Amino acid sequence: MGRTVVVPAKRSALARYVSAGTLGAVFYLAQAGALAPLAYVGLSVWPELFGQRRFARVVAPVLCGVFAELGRYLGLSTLSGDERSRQNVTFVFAYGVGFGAAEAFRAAVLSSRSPSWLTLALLAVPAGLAGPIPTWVGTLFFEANWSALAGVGAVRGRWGILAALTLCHVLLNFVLVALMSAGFGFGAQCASLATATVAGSLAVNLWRRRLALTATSESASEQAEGAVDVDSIGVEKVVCLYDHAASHSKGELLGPLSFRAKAGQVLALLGPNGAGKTTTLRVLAGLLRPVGGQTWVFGTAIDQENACRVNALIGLAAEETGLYPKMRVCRYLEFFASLYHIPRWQRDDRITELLRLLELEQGLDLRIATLSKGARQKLALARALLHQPRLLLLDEPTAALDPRVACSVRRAIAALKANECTVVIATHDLDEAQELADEFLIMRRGQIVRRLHQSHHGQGALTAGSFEVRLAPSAHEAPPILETLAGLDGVEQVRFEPGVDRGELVLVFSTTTPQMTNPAVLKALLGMGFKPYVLTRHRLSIEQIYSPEGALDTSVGESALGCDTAGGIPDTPARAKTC
Amino acid sequence: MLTMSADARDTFVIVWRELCDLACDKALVIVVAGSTFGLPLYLGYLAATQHLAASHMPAWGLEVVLLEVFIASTTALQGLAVEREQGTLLPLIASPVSDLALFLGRALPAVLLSAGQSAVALGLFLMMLAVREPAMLSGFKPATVLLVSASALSAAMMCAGLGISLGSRMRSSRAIGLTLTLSSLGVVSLESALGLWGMFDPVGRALASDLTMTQPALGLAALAAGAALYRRAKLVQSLWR
Repeated sequence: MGRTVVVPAKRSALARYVSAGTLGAVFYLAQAGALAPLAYVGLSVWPELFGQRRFARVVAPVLCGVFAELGRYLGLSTLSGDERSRQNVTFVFAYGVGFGAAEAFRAAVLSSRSPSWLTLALLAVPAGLAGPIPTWVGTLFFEANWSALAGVGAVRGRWGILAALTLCHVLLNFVLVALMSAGFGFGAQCASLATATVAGSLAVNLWRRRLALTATSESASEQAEGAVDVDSIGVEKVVCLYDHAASHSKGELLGPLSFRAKAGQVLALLGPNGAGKTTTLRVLAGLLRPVGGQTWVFGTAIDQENACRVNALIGLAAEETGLYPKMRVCRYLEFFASLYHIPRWQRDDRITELLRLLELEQGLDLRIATLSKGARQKLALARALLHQPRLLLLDEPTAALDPRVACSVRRAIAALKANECTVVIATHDLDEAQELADEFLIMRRGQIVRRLHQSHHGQGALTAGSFEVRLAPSAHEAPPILETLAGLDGVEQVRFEPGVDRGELVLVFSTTTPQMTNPAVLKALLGMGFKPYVLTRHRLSIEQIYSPEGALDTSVGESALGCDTAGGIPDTPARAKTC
Repeated sequence: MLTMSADARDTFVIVWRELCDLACDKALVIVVAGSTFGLPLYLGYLAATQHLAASHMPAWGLEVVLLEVFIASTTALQGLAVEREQGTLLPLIASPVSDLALFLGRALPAVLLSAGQSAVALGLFLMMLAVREPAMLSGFKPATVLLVSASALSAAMMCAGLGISLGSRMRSSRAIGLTLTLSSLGVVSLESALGLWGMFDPVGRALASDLTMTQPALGLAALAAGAALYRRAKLVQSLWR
């Protein structure tokens, strides 16, 4: 195993600030003043969204608080036609400074790791006193505490709760305004203080719980770090559950599943329909979240926090192409090149290169709707290769391609392998798997039942040291031949398999020394009066690979080629038949 | 100088693509153009020739604007249903685009189209009144124009937030289409009621300034709720359930 790294489960600072900024805008919109939210968005959300976080964290909230309140006041007085108040510069300035301080308080609460109730009071009261009207203390306290509560909610990422809080805040504002309009000013202030106290308490409690949650998440992350390898991709004891919406039940869909592949390795997932190949690809692509186990891509855990980082490393060509039919081919690729942040000056070259490789140059300006099925599949493949991914996930990549283009796609995959790109292919095409893969994972019912490694001698794992001899129809009886051949030096297993033509005999034997054994086998067969007319490597049939019994008679190859079994596959009937 | 973050750039790229996609649909372009240009001119002409009270004109303006919002948001959000049918969401989810950018990429075309259409429609409506019966424009105080604009913007944001959050949870594209239409209709009705209350009811008039500001707040809250529900993992669940 390679080096290990810690994968911190931290919430993005940007997301935190955007949520807080948006929240602030919502609150100021909810209060009053058309200019206030604009000032807020301009000064607070903009820097938070577009960088310069230090500025956003310290200076912007204070500045925007002052400007927002000034704007809000001016907006209110304009709407109400209160010219006298608007001309009172001292009043307006004091208003702005007072509520600006409240905004600074909100920023302090959002930035602080451990705000306390005392901090709330210390910040709120002087800020309130800065205002020229004493009753503003109550209003200020109300706004500050509600902002704090909503801010903490935003930091926790509970947007649903946040929306509810916002609505509560708006409704409370209405109630308070109505109370004041009806002449119950003192009652309104009391209600404001009471709800503010409740909101403040909730804010502090929620914040403490947030800290506790963060601590738990970090310790879980530290526990998990052991299995994450920076030089490989893989899954470790992964279990996925499929949510059966119709039956309201959950059944085990995948796993427990464990495998890993090093950089530059090609892994083929083989198995019958429903074996879990596509699901495994989805797990690796981060599209399905396993309920247990670990998944990682070159040192980065595949989880919600790292989704963008992981996706930048992965190219996915799923079975469904998912193309926009109205777009032109070149525009489509440019669109995804932008999303994958490929520099503008590289895009054209990259797109041209891929289109040439996949023989799509002629369709550059065509709309996708007019392309053939094969061309669409090529385009989906081009999309997956566009950003030169470190991990390429292919689901039946050549299923709809003509043999010539399929061959060029295979060549492209081989070239990627040479560039240290890891490839995972789910396929039913054994030739393709044999040609490309270094390792084969044979899956059934969501589990890996067998692993085969490609031989370092160049022998295919799916041929695995077995040979077959086709014998012309003969009057001789079959049984004696098996005993005779089994007695030859180097022949380890021998059996008959049904031939294609009537009367044809297919003799399968395995050996680790074909140079010595094969001539001897042929000589023996000729000596017995048989007419061998074909001698080839014996490849497992697709039925043998996918059969529930796992009828893989590759024990010779396995020992030599490092094959191991998973899931305790019993000795197969085919093996039992051997001499 | 501030540099655009990846999120903002991704959002822009997705929004631009969505708008181009909408522009490619000739039938949609005809409907949008007809509703944006034809309808307000016709209603303006009708109001002017009927010699209605000037104080009722803001209400007509509100209806013109909200009708545009309804048409624009529904047509823009129909892309969600089409997306489900064509399976085009998967490549986007598999790309390094944040959930926020994905959501805004869906929501902003609807909001922008609605806001643009309603602004043009209101302008044309006022222009027709100015040409045919200038006295009727006296009903449009700055505060009422603000209230009408706030209602339109708020309705657009609410339609986008609500439609996307509901549509993301459904598998059937037909159900998504129906839900989008019904939710947009509900939102537009609510905004009409609030706007008319702010214009004609004494209590509503007293709270008109707060109402003007509260409506966009409600819209933003709906958008925020939509963003919260628009999560990769949940989207994927809805794709393959």
